[in-house]
Amino acid sequence: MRALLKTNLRRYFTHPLFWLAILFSAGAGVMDVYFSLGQELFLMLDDFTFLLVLFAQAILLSVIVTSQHKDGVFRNKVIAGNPKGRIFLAELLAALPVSAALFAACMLPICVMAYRPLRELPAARLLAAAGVLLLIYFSFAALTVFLCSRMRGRIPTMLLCFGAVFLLYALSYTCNDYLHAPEMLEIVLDEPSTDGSVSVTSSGQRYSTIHVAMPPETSAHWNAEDQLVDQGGNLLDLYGEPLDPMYKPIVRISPNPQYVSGPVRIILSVIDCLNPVRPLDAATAQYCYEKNADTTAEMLKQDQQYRDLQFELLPQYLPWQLGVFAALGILGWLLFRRKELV
Amino acid sequence: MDYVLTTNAISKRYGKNKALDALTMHIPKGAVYGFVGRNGAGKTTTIRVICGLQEPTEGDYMLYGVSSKEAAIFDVRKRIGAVVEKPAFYGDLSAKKNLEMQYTLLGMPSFEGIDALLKLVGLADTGKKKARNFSLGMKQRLGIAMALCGKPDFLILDEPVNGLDPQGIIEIRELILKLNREKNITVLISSHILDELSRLATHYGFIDKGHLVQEISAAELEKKCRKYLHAVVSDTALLARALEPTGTDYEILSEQTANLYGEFRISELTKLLEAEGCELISVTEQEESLENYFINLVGDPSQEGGASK
Repeated sequence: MRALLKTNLRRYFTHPLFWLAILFSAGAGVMDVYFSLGQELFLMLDDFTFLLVLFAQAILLSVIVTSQHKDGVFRNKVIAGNPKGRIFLAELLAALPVSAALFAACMLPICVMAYRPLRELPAARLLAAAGVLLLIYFSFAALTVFLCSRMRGRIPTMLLCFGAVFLLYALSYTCNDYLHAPEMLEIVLDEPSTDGSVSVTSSGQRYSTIHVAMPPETSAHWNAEDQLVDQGGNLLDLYGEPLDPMYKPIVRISPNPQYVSGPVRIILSVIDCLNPVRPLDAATAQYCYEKNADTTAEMLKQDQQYRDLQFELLPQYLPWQLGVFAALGILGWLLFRRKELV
Repeated sequence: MDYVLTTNAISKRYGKNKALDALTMHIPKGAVYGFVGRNGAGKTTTIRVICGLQEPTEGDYMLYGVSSKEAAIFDVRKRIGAVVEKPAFYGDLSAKKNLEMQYTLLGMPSFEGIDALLKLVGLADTGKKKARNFSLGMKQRLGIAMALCGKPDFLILDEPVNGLDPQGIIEIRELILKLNREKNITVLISSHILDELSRLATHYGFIDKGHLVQEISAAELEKKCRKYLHAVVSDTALLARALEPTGTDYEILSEQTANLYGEFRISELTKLLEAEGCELISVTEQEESLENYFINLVGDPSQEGGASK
């Protein structure tokens, strides 16, 4: 195993694509901090940065691993007396330090350039979040190696890995929309305006209130369709604030079509837990910090509460991610040992 | 006799297609074993199975006395070097870097010996040239060098002279002979170019449709492919009567044709036949080639195909 690992790592570290990927990851980190960091203490890490590094990882791993099929190098490894299962594990294990190197290349400029805002945040939490981020990178690396061990073509594998990253991101946002959608929607027709703006002013577990400011000419249409009840009085009860008596808000309460329940909710919850993008969001949030001349204590408190909430989510995702990593490793090992190499 | 490899009724199926059919072969230690067969006969499939790239559907094999079903087969496989189908190397690395990677894979403690190996295969002057830019002959030689990295004592070469020019073929042949004679490496070389094999092999295995039709040593094959006179006479019965007392080896083909084996002077033969009243109509000297031998062995040469994957 040691000889296999050494060979694989030597291959990565002597391949120009590895160093390109390192540069790219570092560049992604630099750009993220550069665009978010101002004179004040402000750091808002973007998921997109980590997405770019995941793409770089997918390209690097798929090129190196699938070329072993094309060049016949896998054959050399078998002929050298290595069982196929061991060859697969060596590919997987070698991908981990590579993944860690790309992650470190991205995080290093972030830590250096954003030292001031990061200093304000608890170090233990930052380290814990970094650990989770690294585990997510490992999960993606395991997925890439698994796909590459099944396929021979470099381009199809790369496209598949790209597609997998995109799909996971899309899945994450979709699941998020459905799982965090409130059960009921309360639509309140607000003071007429010309720009048709929509805003959510409060969102609870069960109700979400959407204020719709409609142009004057359409409010009559709303009245005809949606005048269930004139609930000006009830509206005051809900908000506890007096409304301008000059206009009568129309309120419509209806089930939220986006809300899911029952088995669908359970399935989406499981998919959400398995998806590495969710803990990635939660971990990235720990690296976000805003404080400028206009920041109030209340805003700082809300910021902290948001980070706390995201941090509390991390432990629940951890076992799932470890499970994903282990499952991909075991499945890949089982399949590769029976693979016929030509 | 000491065998490096024996296969025991190996069969390999791809769905309904039978690529190997109860193939049993024996490769003696120190031999250059010519594995002969048409395209699709099962040569490469056999080699893939022996090298562990594919599992046989039925049967097993013994490599240095270790069964393929034992865990120890992985350790024993370290004693072999192989070039299967096409040479396997990293195209973006130089010859030297490729050998360094192979040394690392084999767990060799240092890179000592790489320069000597490059010199042995004639790639010492390639410098930093990437392997993907090598000529076909150079790639084959690099593949052989990669196979030799672990100092194997059993070398498996799958059609190593395919696509090579005459100079390349000569170089590969001389290299194989050198390895066998100087380093006592047993070589299994598969090919359908019989003329080339005849200059190398000490033993032959003829495979057709996944089945080993015959195993024979070069010495025995030479006897079977010896020179003879193809004679057309008036009556082969009279010919037989004339030749019997001389102890000459002959083969009656028809009432008027026969093959006579051995050295003859035509004048003496004519006199001998005349004495029995047999007329010698024509005589031509012939030698059975390896191709003819093979064709006669495996049947109709117009039949192509077999199983391959």
